[in-house]
Amino acid sequence: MSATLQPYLLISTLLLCLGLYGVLTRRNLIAVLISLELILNSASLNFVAFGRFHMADPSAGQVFAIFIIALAAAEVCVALSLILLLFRQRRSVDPASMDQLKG
Amino acid sequence: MSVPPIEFPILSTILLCPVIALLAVLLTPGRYTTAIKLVSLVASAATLVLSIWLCLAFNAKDPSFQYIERLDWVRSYGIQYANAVDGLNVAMILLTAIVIFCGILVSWGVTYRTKDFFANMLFLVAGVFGVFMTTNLFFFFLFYEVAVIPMYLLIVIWGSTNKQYAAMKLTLYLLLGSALMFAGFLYIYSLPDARTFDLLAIKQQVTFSPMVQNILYISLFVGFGVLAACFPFHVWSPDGHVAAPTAASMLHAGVLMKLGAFGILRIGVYLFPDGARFWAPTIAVLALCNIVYGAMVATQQRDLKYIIGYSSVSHMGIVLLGIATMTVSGFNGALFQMFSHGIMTALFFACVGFIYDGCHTRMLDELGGLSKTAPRISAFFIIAGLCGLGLPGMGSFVAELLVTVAAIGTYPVIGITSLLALLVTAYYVLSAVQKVFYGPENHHHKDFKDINGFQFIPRAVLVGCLIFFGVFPQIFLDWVNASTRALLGA
Amino acid sequence: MDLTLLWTIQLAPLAVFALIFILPKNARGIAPLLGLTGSAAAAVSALCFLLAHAGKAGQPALHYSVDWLTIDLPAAWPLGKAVSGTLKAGFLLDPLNLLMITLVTVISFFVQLFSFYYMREDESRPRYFAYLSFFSFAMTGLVLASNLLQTFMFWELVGLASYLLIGFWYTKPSAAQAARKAFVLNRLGDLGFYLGIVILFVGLGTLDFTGLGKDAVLSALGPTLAMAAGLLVLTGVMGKSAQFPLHIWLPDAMEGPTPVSALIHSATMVAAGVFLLVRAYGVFSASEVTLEVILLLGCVTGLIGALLATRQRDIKKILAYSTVSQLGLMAAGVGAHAPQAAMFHLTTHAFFKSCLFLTSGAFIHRFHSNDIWTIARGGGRKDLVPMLTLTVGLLSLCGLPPLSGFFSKDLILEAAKHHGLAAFAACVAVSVLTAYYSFRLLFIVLFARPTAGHGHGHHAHGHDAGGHHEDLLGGLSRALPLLLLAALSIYAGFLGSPMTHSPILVWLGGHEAHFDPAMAVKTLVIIAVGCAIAFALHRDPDASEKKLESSKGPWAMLVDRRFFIDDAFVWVTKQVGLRIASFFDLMDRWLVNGVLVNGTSYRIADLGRLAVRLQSGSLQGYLACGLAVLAVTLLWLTGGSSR
Repeated sequence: MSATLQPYLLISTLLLCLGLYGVLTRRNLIAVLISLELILNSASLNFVAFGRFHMADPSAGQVFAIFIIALAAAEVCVALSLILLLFRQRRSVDPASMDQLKG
Repeated sequence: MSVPPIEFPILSTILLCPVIALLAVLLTPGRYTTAIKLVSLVASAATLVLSIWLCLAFNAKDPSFQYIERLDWVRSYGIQYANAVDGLNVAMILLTAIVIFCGILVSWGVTYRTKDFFANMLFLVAGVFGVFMTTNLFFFFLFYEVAVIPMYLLIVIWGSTNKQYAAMKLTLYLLLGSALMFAGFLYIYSLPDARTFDLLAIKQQVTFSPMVQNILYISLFVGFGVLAACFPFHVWSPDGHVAAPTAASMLHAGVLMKLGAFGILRIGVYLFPDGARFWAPTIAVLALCNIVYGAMVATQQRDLKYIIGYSSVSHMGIVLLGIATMTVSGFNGALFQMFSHGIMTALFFACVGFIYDGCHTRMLDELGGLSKTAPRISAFFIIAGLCGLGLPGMGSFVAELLVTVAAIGTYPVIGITSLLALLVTAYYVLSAVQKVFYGPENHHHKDFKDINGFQFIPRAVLVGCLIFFGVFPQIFLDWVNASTRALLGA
Repeated sequence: MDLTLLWTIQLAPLAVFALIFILPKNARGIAPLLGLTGSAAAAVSALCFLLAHAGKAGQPALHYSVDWLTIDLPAAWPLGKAVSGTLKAGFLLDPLNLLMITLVTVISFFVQLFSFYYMREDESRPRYFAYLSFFSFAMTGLVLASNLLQTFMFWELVGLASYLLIGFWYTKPSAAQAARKAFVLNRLGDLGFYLGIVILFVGLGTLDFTGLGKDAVLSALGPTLAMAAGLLVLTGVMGKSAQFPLHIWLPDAMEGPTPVSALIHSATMVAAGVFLLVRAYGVFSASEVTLEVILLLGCVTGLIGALLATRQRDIKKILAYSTVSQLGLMAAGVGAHAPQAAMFHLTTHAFFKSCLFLTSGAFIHRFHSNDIWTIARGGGRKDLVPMLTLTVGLLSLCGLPPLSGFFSKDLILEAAKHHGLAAFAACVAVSVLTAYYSFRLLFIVLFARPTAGHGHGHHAHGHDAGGHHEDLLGGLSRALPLLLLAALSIYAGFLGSPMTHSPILVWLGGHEAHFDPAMAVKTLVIIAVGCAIAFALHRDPDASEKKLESSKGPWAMLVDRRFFIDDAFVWVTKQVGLRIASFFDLMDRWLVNGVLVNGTSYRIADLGRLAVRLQSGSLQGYLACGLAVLAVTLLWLTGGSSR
């Protein structure tokens, strides 16, 4: 098992790109939320990987990963409830239809 | 005149009259309309009395500033509350006082939001007085803005006929003008020699190179010219005249437009005499456009107020032409025309407003035979019209004579062409009179009531002024002559 | 003392004017009395003056003036020299305007007296007398003025009075129209007058009549400018004195009440132009060309007026065109270097023409029609007093000796003859035509057979036709002015006749007229010819009426359309003036307001609309933008640091 940072960063970048792509293109807010999770996970992966390879004490990176998981849970809670409210109001969760703030 | 000099700060007193009245009006509950009107009337009457006193006590032989009042406001920036009077503004102060006095009387019948109306009027007048009196560029700008904003409200709330559009146009135009003017002021301030907004100090300390003079003069001229309805920046004025309520039209055409011409003389010509000389021929051409073009367009109007609006454009052209001649007589004529046109056009609007209130229309084709129905108001309108077409014995005749003689002497072609306006003006004024007042009685307006004794006063005052200064013009010239002479360095 | 009298002449009518408007409504009934008092005061003052000063030729003129307005100009066009002058206001009294002022005030008094009768049923009588008094004020001001500018000012004011009185019955659209036409055409003439005054002022530095002598004008302005100034001032005269081609307002001015026509539009105001020609003779005589132009204009005007008078059926129109024609003769007299003769003719003309107009007023008021055939059939010839004055007036008009017109017209004819054949021929032609239309009028009224049930023709006038219930006062105020004016029009001639050594001419600074039998014979022949033609054509008024109605030839059309001069003016106004105006109006709407002003605001709004597109409202779009910006920023930052 070669122990280099490279593959982790590669996978994390892949995850980030997938997540960004999902956030920018999905027509369903739930899917956007899932994509957001992907981005957060890529960040977690980076933290853990960098902690593992560049830090004397890898636990710092892991603490951040756990922090991110907690944050993601909280974020999903808020976001889902907002989406739910939006759905109740508008019968749609398509982000493209939410353009009332345009000029 | 044997009137002794005045011992107290007369200018600030004149300025404070409307301000105090404004505070009093604001503190009075809106339901006491009579009290509000009375307060406004007393204040305007006080300004009128004080300005007449000022005119009498003013030393006409002395071309320099008199009754100077100074109070530092922001010393580090050279911003001073500074008032003074000389030949240029003494008559303008009187004009403002006369017009506001008559304007308040004419608006006695305002019932919609009376308190706000009179408050706005007083605010406006305070601004106008301030512009005429101040000798500090910063305060000039400040007071100018104070005069513009209430005008917007007056038109939008109490106006008629496309008022939103007109009010917005007027405000944008005037702010555009003031922006240009303020840019000029700031540039002057930024000069190393200046570092002050004080007009006299600038005149003494700073020498402007010819190039700078030319640029600054024309930018100030455009800024002020907008307000004086100089062609091609004139279109806001007919629209504004038409949309504004009666008293606001009176102030607007009677006084506000004069601010522009006054600014050109007080600041433009005073600080940049060479720039003024350089641009004078161009301005003369523009003024000619004003005079002839405005009169021509007036012949095509169907709305009585638009006719007067364009006649104002034409008559303000005479003011500009007088300024463009750069001669003593031209300046005297311009000031005279500012005064007499102010009075005349106030009279015009006082009459048209009354007719509109009674007949609910101002269209020439829908009116007719009003001389039969309402002989008195018709007589007043016709007198104003006769003054407009330059009948001897009225102020405008003398003003036009002075300007025309100066213009023909300086720019023969332009001067002679401008005479055409005398003919065209006669044509459109008399056509309007014929359509509105002559001819068979129009039965739609049978129950139109003529002015009663009380409404008689403001119009009679205006007519009295027109005839008095038309018959004794030298009184007016004596006021202004020394200052215009000094202004030209002659 | 003299000054007090002058102020009385000048201000009494003005006071009356103001008083009538100040009077409470229920006291306005005394307006006629007030008017009469005012004019009587003026007339008496003027007569006092005349008695005190008449005949004393060479006596220094009274000259009183105060500063009115100062004017300063550096290097003014057209001479390029600095002007610093004071315009004055004041009185200048010399024989010329002493004569004129007497004329004006006396006729004014008679007309006020006659109006007492004529306007008695009109409900706006107070206004009428107020206007009439205002006219007297303005006219006396014009006559007494000491300088050209003051003349101009009162010149415009009499124009205003004329405007107000022509449009007196303003509910009639035709009257309102005629009033405006008169004012605007006068204005057209006055433009030139105004410019002329400016040039004279710039050149001479003064406008005082005493300083406007021929030599002064010539030396100050040089020949070309002197000519220009003369011609420019002449345009004012053309407007006021109804000279071709600005004469067209005068016939229309007959819309006013008839006494007004007598006072303003025949005797005094329209003669003011001729008066000015004489008053400022120095300005005109400074250039021979100007005088030639005056002569030419006078002849053309005389001919046109006389020709147009031959085919009218409205008695006032006949007299109006006759006035035009006589004014032309007067101008021709001035042009032919005989200003005194012109002034003399002005005087006699004022008397007999106002007499004629008042006579026509008497007829019109009684028969409720302006039409000569209606008047004739209504029994005009049985109305003795007016018939008598009509005859005297008409005979005087055609110049039958020894009536006043004979002496004055003779002098003009003589001057014209002296000047050249063409001018003389024109004047003779005018005289023949004058005799013709005078006798035509006379014969029609005399020979027409009265029909029963007269007087129900169209009511050509706005006033209430209340029938004629003549009490003593009404009858007196009707007959007295007529008879006195007729007497004056007989008497006035002797003032200039050779038998009495023509005191008036000498007094005015001219030569004594000499009696020329050949000329008198010529005059008689002229009258005889005119009379004969008139008799041949009009001894049967019924037939001549039919002929007038049925004639359709080109000549008839030309005269009926007034030589198309009115049409030309209308064409120029409508097709040129108003076209330009409507072009400017369109320009103002579309170019200045539309493109420049609204255009600017729309362009700014367009810019805003562009900016609006950025704000699409799409979450994911914003996010993409944000990320892109972030990416670019990061790249830039890292790129910068790596280098």
